Amino acid sequence: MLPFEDIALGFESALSPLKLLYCFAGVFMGMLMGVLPGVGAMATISMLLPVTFYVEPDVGLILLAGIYYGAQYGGSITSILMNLPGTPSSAVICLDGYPMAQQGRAGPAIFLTTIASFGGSVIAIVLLMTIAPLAAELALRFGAAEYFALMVLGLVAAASLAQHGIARGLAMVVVGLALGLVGTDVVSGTFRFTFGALELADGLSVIAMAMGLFGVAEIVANLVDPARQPSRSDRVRMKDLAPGRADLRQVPGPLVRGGATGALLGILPGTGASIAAFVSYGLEKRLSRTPERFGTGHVPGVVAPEAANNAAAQSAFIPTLTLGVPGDPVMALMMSALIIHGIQPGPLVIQEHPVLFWGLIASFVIGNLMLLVLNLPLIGLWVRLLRVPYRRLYPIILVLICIGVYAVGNSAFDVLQVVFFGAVGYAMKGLRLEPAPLILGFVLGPLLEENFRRALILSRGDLATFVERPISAGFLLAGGAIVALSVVTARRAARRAEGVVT
Amino acid sequence: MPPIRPGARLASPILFVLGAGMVAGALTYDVGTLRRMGPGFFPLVLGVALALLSLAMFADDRKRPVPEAADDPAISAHSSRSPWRAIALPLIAVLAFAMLIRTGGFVPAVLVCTGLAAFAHPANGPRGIAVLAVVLAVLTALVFVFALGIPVRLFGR
Repeated sequence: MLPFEDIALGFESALSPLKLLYCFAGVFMGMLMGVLPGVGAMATISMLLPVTFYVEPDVGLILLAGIYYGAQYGGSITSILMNLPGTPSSAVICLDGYPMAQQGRAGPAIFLTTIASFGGSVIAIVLLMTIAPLAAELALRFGAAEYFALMVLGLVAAASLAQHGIARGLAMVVVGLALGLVGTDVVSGTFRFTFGALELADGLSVIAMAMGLFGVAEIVANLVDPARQPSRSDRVRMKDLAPGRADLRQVPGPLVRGGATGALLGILPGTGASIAAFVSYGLEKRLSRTPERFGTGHVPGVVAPEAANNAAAQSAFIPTLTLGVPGDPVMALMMSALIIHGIQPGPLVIQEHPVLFWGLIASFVIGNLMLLVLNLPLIGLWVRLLRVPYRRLYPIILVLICIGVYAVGNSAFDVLQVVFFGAVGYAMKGLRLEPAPLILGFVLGPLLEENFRRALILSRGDLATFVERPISAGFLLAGGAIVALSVVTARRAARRAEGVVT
Repeated sequence: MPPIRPGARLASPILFVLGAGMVAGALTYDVGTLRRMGPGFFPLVLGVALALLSLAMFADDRKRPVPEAADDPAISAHSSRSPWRAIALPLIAVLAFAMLIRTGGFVPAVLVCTGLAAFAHPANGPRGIAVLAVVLAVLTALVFVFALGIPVRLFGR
């Protein structure tokens, strides 16, 4: 049952002119940055985070959220036009979107992804409205042991997505947790791993870390190997914009399945929009009567993953807002924005800040409508934007990263951290270690330690508390199952690969 | 060309050393007991976990080596020239921004950062770089300093 009164309250708040303006600015900026390859929601959010300090927290949150889901819309446009994902989660869209563009059907492809994005988001928003209050109520009964176990589950899930085996993923999670230790221990006040630098007493900056590991490292890698650089888009024939009736008939099934898959996967902490897109593409291919048409510009291959990554982007707000456990690095930034504004994300957010919570959800509806209307007339603009050569684009991105990181904390030391993490991030590319699980570990580290220590104080040092409490045991069991499953599938894949060779 | 970046096989030894270092660091703090954990307890657990995971990675790599990154300067066919310019200049550009923002002001920081960064790409000539730097300095000053009002001086400390 939908809580209609609360929803009405949300719309009343979200329809104020200021919030509409910020919602528009957010989705527009998000889409713009989503279109540019290599600048994701993360860079945009950290660039615009300082802007939100001058407005009410709910207005700021609407802006940041708009960037996040706006980027999902934009990313697929680049995938279709340039065969290059604008955001990681739209990588799958390349598979069938780019062939469509090659056939001169870029217009219909973008039209269809826009519809799919909107449909997927709506499915997830409805889920958000019904499930979030229930999840918050459940979370009120969570003790320290449950929080600890849930975070372990999320971290294991994130690690299992690492490309070169779960051991590499888990190691990155642990390194992230360790980086989270740097600074003052909240319990005893001891400075840990600060190496005598007073600036490190408050810990490392998550934004500097994200910008260094993702943004700067990517730029360096692209400069070293020019083959990685996004090439200028060929002249795209737009011809007919609107998809034909035959295309439209293929939309509903994949859209609903993709949206539902994405919405469910988005709830789990640690599995973001990227995995949702991959899973729904695989699901659609398996269900299809014509699996051989996937990869050749098949409409369901565009619609299902696009619906899924947008749905996941919306439902990712459920664990972030109701449990205070962010599911991916972008959500982690969003959470630190809330904390800067003095709002502690957790089960009490819905009760204590109903206008903020329901206003945000209402803004999702409004923002998605704006994106639906905005997307089509702007296609020409996006195509022109993609003609900016990379050698001009990357210095701009680098300067914006510097300004963004500096402005968040007015701290030149934070910018120095970008240099450090940029170098580390480039080295990690060679070591085949991925930054995403590291950042999630860093964000959850302090929370994880706090709940671990609290749980053991409550149980008087008895480790059994984590398995004796049913919810906590369930989370840990699920985490163990993920590890076991990925070890088994890796073994099987290795054996199959050997079988091919011999 | 000699490898300038550690390859995939070096990941496990590096992480093992990191884990061992964490254990050593954790032992300099009060570890405490399970019942009353000190500030050293959690770091100790993490250090041991990292060392164990690096051993698992080592075993994995021996059984089935992880393929080296395709863009590795040592193996990529595209990078015949020295990669050091491409690696160092973007990092130096950010470093210069950090140094200049408090001492020289916003505009010099943006100008120098853009210039150094753009110079990393062989196709960018001095004129193009100068135009880009000036345009970018004007636009970012308008947006961030005048419109958004971030507290920095345009010139000087």
